[in-house]
Amino acid sequence: MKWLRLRKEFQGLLLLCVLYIVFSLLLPTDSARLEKYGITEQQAKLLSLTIMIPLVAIWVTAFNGYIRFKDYAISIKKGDDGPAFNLLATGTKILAYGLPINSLSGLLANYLSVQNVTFFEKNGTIITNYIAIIIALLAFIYINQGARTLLNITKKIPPMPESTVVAFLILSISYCYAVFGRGISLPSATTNASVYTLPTLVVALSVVLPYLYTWYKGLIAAYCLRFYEHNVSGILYKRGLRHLSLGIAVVILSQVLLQFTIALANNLADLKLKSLLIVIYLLLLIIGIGYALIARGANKLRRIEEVS
Amino acid sequence: MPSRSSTLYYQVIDVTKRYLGPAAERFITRQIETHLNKRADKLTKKDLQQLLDWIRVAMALLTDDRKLIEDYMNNLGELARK
Repeated sequence: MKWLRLRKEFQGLLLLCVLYIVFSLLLPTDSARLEKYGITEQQAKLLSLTIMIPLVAIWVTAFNGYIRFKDYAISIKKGDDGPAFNLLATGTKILAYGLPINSLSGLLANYLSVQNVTFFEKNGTIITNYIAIIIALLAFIYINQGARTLLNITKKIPPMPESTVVAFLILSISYCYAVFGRGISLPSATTNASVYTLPTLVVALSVVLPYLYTWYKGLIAAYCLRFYEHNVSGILYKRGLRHLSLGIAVVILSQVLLQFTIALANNLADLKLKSLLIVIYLLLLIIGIGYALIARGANKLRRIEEVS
Repeated sequence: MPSRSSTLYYQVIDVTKRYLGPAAERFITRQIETHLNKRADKLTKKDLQQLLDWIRVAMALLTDDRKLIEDYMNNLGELARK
């Protein structure tokens, strides 16, 4: 049964990877971008390989992390902590699937827009943004709910430290500045279009607010997990849990950074190619570290359940 | 589900919780049912030494921390001496 489930999950990942690679290599590159960076179509394809390979590696890492976490959650489903870990695992599953889905939707929407397909010319960016928002929101709701459920085991209510409130305020102000101060009012010289292609009020209500709410959920979840880790008993149990909670915190952070990157897309478009690649690789590295920590933590906890 | 009246079983779990937290009850139940071939609530003092031996082996598979294992075994050993 487990192998059947594993096969289905990796079949899903394989399909998404193949689709992404095929579309990336076969679909023509935007001529404006070729002109901006002074490269040919073939050079652009070679360049896309240097992003594609680490990107697919990160997707595999993310799926591996989620599957190991899910295996652990299944092994303890009848325990007091079972339902909570199942919710957390579902949240990380949504984020793991979200990585290739977001990449594919962006690729296809961009291609259709460049090919002057009217609907996608007007709505491509909006569609890809909303897909990303829905995925992040769903995932963080599950992760938040799982983290809060874990607190029931400690029978303690964590105090809300000022540092968490301040961190959220700083995050909110920074993101609003990134979107309203840079992303909308300064259209890119290359694309002549703002990042979100929507009126300011609509961006505020349908993009900024949902993301701030999502990150609030994520911040609280990371804090609750940390509180649980400190207050739960079990020296060996805590060692596994430490990696898991740190991994989830890093994955939440990577989602925040990803959205900041998108909000600053116009400014990043002005960067040299080398600098842009560094930004992309750094982001991928952070995502990979998060899921690797989740896998490591889940493995440690699972060994406790399997050893006899 | 073993009842609370099997106090030795729950005493063992209480000690184990310091090391395995919420996984303690599952761990101990598995050790008793797999190695002693009896229901967890049927644990008696006579079974304790054999159980401790199996727990030591299982803990050695989970961690290299000998101090931790010895600490755990000493705490369980006190139950056998009561």
